[in-house]
Amino acid sequence: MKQPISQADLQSMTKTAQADLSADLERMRSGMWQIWKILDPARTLWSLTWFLIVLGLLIHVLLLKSDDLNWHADGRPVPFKEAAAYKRAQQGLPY
Amino acid sequence: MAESYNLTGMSDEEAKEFHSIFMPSMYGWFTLVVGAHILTHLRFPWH
Repeated sequence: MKQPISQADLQSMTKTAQADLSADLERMRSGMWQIWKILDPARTLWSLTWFLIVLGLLIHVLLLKSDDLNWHADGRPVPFKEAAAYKRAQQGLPY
Repeated sequence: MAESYNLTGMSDEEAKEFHSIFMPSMYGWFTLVVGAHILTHLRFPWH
């Protein structure tokens, strides 16, 4: 018949598993620099640059094409409109 | 075996130096992006 696991055993096992996981993660983190012996840094930086530019443009275009997330046509007031109008009025300029 | 992989011709010192610049830059970028999202959500909450 199977013996139930005691609370102390369970705590001990959890502690060991946590320590093992921490050690593994630290080993992985401390060796990450070796990725640059596999991936060429120049190519990686160019790839990242273009990927992020294209991703950013894509998301902006998708938002602007949507009905409710287009910030030019969502009906929300322009931020600080009153402050800008006051500033220009102080200089005798129309807003 | 795994230690012998070197497809880029970088020495260990060069790889470590590049990594020491790359990682803080990446965390800086992430910080910038998260900050931009927080500010945007404060002004234009999307949900």
